[in-house]
Amino acid sequence: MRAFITACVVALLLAIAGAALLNQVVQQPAESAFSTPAVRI
Amino acid sequence: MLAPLRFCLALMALIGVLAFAVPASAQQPTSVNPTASSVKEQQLLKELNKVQGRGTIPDSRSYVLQQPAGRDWRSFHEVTLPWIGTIAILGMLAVLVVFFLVRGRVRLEAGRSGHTLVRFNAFERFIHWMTAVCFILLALTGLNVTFGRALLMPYMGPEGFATWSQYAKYVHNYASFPFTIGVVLMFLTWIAGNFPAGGDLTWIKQGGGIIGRNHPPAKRFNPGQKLIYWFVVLGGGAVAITGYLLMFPFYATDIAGMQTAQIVHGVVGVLFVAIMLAHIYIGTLGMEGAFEAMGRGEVDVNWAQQHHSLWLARERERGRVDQQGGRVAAE
Repeated sequence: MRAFITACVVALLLAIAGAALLNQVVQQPAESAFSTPAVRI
Repeated sequence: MLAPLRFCLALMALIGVLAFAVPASAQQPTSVNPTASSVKEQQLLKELNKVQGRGTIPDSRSYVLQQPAGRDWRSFHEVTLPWIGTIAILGMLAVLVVFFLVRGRVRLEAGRSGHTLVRFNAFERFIHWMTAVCFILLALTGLNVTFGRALLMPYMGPEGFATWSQYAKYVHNYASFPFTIGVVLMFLTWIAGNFPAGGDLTWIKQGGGIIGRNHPPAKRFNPGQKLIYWFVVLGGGAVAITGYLLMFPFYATDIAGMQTAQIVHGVVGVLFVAIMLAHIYIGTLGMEGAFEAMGRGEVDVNWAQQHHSLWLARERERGRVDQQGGRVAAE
């Protein structure tokens, strides 16, 4: 049971870390990725 | 004298009006089709392989409006993949139900000895459960992409389904990271025991003790478990790689590459679900004492003797099990 709980917690932490990495470093919002400075969606 | 003249003039005027009033098509040969030489959409696709224009937004890839391969991919995604998934998953469930009704639960024939030995240590159970929990999340949110619109949207409504699908996609993306790490750790941790070995063929010929009543000797992992292991490693690797190609569009491949990646991702994904159903069945309902291996980490000595006798003998040689069968070395 302890291994299962630990696995769930670590999975959650890794997922949050992945989400933070994606959102802050890699991905851009669509309104900035697919527009020019002159034409904002 | 004037009346016949007026009649003639009126008749000539009428003929003139009728002559100009005849439809233009009647004045041309009937064999001419005015649209015959115009370029059709299919011709454009055939000649150019895509319909592409010009645009003003920075992403020039968005200028491609249509390509024939996109239609093939859409047909696969909307028709072929749901059929493959339905046959694989429902087919596996049907096989398991029939198997359970015919064979029943694989019982511990000698009963419990009361002595246990360590089957999987804490780290092994940790990576198993981390990968398993993530897999269940990935499977549910992935199946939503293929089957959700048909199965859930009628009950949730379009707006509810859109909201659910949006969050499901987030979960699918983010759970992929611990899943991938888990697959890599599984690969490294268990590879030594999962190469083909000498007794595997005998085990397969005797149905592994699951089909039939014989219990052929097996090492720590029997051929059925080896099959699961290699499917998880190779299939998990395939869905991870193709998933990241889709998560990062155009970073490593083009549209055609992403279409191929999605096809591989979808097919391997639904097969993964079907095979894991069998894995879950045999690890819980299908075999007495099997869940304890991954639950508490320990199995009864009689269970080990019945299903993994070569492994038990090896553990005894190593002094991890005493002569009475009791556990010597704690994890």
